[in-house]
Amino acid sequence: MSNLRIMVACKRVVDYAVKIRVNAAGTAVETANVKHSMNPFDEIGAEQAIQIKEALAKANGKAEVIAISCGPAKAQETLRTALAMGADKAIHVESNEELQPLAVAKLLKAVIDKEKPDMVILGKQAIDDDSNQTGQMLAGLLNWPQATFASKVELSEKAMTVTREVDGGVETIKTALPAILTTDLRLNTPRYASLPNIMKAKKKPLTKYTVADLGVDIKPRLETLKIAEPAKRQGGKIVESVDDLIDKLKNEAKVL
Amino acid sequence: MSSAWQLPPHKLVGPFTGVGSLSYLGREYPAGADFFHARLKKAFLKNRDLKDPAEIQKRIDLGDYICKEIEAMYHINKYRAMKKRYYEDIEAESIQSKLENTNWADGAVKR
Repeated sequence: MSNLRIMVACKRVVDYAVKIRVNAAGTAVETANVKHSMNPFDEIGAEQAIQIKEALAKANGKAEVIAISCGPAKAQETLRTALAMGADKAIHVESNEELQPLAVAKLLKAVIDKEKPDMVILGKQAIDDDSNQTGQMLAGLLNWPQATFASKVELSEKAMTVTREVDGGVETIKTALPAILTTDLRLNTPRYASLPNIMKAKKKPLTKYTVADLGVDIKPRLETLKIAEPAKRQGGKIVESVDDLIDKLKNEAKVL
Repeated sequence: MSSAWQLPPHKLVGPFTGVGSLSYLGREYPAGADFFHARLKKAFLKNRDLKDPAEIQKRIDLGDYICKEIEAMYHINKYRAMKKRYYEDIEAESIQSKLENTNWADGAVKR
């Protein structure tokens, strides 16, 4: 296989360990002064791309891993993490506007038209908006085959065999390249971006585009009406005796 | 005069990478970065009088080992958080449906 180009989408999201708070106006999640990191499912995607590259290198093949992120200037930190994990170069599409899945899919398509990758790997969903749409929309826009929720990927000459996690089991599909792959949790174990690698990643190339450069309409199609925290869990009660329990079940819970 | 010791540990490079890596990893430590860094400093100060190169190498190897352990711990923490958030309901449902579809008389699952 000649040079295989793999593009990996990496979203910058609020870190998984942070307790999410809704802002006072109830319109958005508080993101100022909150720790951010790469979406865990995108990390799995980046790891998969790098594993493919390493496997090809052993078989005298070549692969290039391109990390891409759309968002504000700080998205570059996420790209540096992907570069530290082992991506070869990064592309940052800068935008301070709200980017909805359709807008991101269009931006990715515009970059894909320039870069011409053989494979695009995305996380199945981001842990902030949980949309689970970008990969599928991108496949639709490009008219490429898609293998979503992958738990195992095998690559052969210009084709890949993907095991997908579906309700109640797994499904195995084979598709020609170029194709879209979205990752499920059990696909692999992402490596940690170590300090020396973060240092080295600073020397890797990072290309910047603006939305205007790509000529994409990113106008939001969805309007968020309200964001609210889930109801607080009410504490349990200790009952004194069986009679007490039956009484509470009858009169308070009304299940008897 | 600035010496290597005045830099924050995660800025150190070269022979100090071991210290730097540990300090860098410590920033995300679940019990808090301060908790980790205080113990890290103590561990390094405890061994400051080591002179024997073999002994020093042993400590550096131990540091590398701890780095790997912490990386593994971070991964498992993240994996478990994701599993709990996105997969546990599905698993509970599947167990529930298995229970409901079990014919207890002959112990076979219908579906």
